[in-house]
Amino acid sequence: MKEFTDLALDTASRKGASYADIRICFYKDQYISTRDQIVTGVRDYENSGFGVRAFYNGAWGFASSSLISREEVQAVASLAVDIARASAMTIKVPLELVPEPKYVDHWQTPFIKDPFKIPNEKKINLLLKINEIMSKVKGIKRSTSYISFTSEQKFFASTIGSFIEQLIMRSSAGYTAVAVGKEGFESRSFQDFPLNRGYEHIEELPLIENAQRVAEEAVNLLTAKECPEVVKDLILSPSHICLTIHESVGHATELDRVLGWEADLAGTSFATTDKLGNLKYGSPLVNFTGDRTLPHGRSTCGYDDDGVKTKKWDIIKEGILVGYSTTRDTAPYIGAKESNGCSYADNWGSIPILRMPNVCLVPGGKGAPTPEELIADTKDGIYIDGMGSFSIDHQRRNFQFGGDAFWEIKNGEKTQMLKNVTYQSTTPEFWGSVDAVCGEEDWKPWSIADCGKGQPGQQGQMTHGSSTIRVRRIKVGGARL
Amino acid sequence: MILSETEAKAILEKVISYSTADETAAVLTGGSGALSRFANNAMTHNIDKRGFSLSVTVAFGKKEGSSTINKFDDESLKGVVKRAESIARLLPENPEHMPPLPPQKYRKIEAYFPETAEFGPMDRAKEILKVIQACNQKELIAAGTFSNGDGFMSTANSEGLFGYHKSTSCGFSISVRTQDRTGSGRAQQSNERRIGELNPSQLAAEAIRTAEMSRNSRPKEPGDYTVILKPTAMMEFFIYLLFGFSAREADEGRSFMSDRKTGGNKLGQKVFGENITIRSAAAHPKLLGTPFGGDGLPAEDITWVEKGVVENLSYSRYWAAQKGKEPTFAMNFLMEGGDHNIEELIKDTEKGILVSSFWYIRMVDPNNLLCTGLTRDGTFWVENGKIQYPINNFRFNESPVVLLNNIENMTKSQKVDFGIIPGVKAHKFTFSSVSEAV
Repeated sequence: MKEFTDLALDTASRKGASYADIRICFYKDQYISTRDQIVTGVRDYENSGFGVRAFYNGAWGFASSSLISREEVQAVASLAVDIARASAMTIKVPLELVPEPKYVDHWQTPFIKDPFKIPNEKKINLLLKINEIMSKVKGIKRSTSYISFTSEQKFFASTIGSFIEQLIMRSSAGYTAVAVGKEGFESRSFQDFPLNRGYEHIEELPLIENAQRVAEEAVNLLTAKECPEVVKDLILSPSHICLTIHESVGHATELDRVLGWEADLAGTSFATTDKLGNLKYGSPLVNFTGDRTLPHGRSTCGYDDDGVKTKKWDIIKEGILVGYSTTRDTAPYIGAKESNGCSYADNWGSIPILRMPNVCLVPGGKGAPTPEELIADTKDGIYIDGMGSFSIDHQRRNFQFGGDAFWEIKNGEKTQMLKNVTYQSTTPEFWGSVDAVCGEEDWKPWSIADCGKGQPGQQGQMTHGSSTIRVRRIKVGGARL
Repeated sequence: MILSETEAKAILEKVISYSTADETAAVLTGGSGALSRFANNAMTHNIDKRGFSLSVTVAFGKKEGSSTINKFDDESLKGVVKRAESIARLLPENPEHMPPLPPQKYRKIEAYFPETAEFGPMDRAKEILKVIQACNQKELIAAGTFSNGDGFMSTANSEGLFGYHKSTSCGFSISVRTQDRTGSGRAQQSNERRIGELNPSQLAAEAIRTAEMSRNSRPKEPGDYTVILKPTAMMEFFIYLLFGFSAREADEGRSFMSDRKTGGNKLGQKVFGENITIRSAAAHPKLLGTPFGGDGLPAEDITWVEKGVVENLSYSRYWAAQKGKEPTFAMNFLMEGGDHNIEELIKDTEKGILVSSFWYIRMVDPNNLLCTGLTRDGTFWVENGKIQYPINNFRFNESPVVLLNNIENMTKSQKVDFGIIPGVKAHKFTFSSVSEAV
């Protein structure tokens, strides 16, 4: 690999790039799916190539190819500089890159069992067994299951002198039951928390144990009571709040969108840099960290795609906005001396962009309630589990979320299921209404495996760990025909 | 990085010759794509990507396996076939397995234009510079993209089927915001085949006009309003209707097209307003789509809805065989419009809201296609036939099925992305909360 990386960096430097880097990447993916008692797909993907990024007069150029050869590396590195020169034509204020030391290192996801070495038969039998259990529940008309693995091996080298090899391993599984009745159809899912681990992650998930319950809850949803249009207290499980964190905190505190770099599509943010250190984002119980070192986090790695060593930092502290996700080219805009290491490209052919890290809610401290105590302490509320419908405005304030399953809470007890529950709020109002965060023993690393961002679009993945929370007096049921 | 028909055929034939399975099918795709991206009146990203992908599917009896790579040396080609075969051998039979299609006849769609493929980074930079200068002169902030590229798709199977198609594509988008961050506008052209079809300066002028008009918006109470949706907004919402056209989902009770009374689907029923007709046209000259799908099915002309009545649903090969229907493959859609323009729809409106575009639409309830989302980049209050003033963005909760029953008037249809669609005026569109986002 060093032969190719040296050639790329040398070519880019000779053509005038003040900085250049190259990623040579090898990906393996496997996706197995079953429907009812049928194996609907066993798909293996292998994909490799390289991308060269050149920095010229404060502007970026990027070129890539799936053909890894000396001639192609030289041609692509040269093209990257030509593209950077074209970019520089439009720049009035050149971009700056915060400094980063050189690293020569190897890093990999800690895993025990390589999922690509586990026989397919074993994976398929697991999925078919889940389907069989769900299909036996009266009223279930469709049961689907999947299992998915990714191995991302990449070699990064830059003109700073870094040469970093990384191997990132990802595993996930999940399933859904669909019930059909005269009332219509409803679904309920087992939503795994996808993590960066080996096959041991799948073996430790309570997949079989929950299949019947998930199917029964799908059937119960058919006849569940409609959610009224009222104001209620919400108790939100970690599997649900993951997505609300992602949309209203994770994206809102990405510095590139705060600066307007995503304005054409993904939008900007209400959490602008003039509010850093003084914006009341939530109640004093609300603390968020950005953390690309979280063990097994979906965004966890040793070094980002700028070659920056990953770290952990505060984003919201006691309800106040105190930090952003940053990269080497965005950090200077807030006067930061170093990057927070949030650069990521989803493919050899994608340019690294600022991607959300693992953004996690810090659990409540000593004396924090358990979820059971929270329910017992709630007179009129709704308990929401799992992720459902989601939508938020392009500055990350006005939002509406659904969920996967809902229960009414009356006088301290979780009672009947509800259906078609949505809640409507704004980011500061919602997080400002949090009056309880459960303790560390309830904290779970739920994750997002398919976050889209950028033009052209790239897929990102990140973990949003949290404990169960309670949010007071939120409007529910506003979505209806 | 386009392979010619001869080159693609040679690779696919080699792949099929390496297979020991009863059935083999392969799809080869490739091409190059470039995109220049700008924000805050300067280029931020500028990329070029070239690559290939080969997907192989084999079957022993009804046991199927597939594998994908992006290398084409003999060893890699043999490896991808072997991997697909070893997957297939270990799998249980798929009772829904369909044998490969025999050779098909495809329409010739000329969609490759060399001038689009050859447009380089400097050419894109010059065009971007022009729109940036236009925004600088008015002290406005611009962000957007300029993309172009080429690609090919080739499919073959062990029954002798072969198809090859190549095309070029390009697009330009621009979002403009005012310095005080109270006004915004956006315009876009996408999925064009010829670079000459793009008009960045005209799109910039449109986005600038909307941004300046939408400055200092006022709040309006949420509620049910008459709306005028520009074609872009209509397209963004209309896409969610297409989720409901799967015949199998309808037949199995998992769709808004399921008929709860009969237990079947709504084929032949009047589901939409009398003025709604929706078709697909494989070789439409403005769309120039792909003449076949990955499994080799030819793209067809299909009428989905005629004067509000559901004429066709979408059938996979397996479901079509079960139900005695023809399988369907369509790459585009066209909704018939009226003979007005947006200005005439506005003139005809006593009180209503003009929506330029939508944002972040998501399904809330697939039983009735209830969706939520927000307006964006230019929302205006219309009264007495005139735009009166800009208003804050709204969150809506509405179903495209309801919208297609409430349309009073339409503009002529025009190309938006991969479809042809009109702007519409419709009553009783439900806005549920106000968004301050600009």
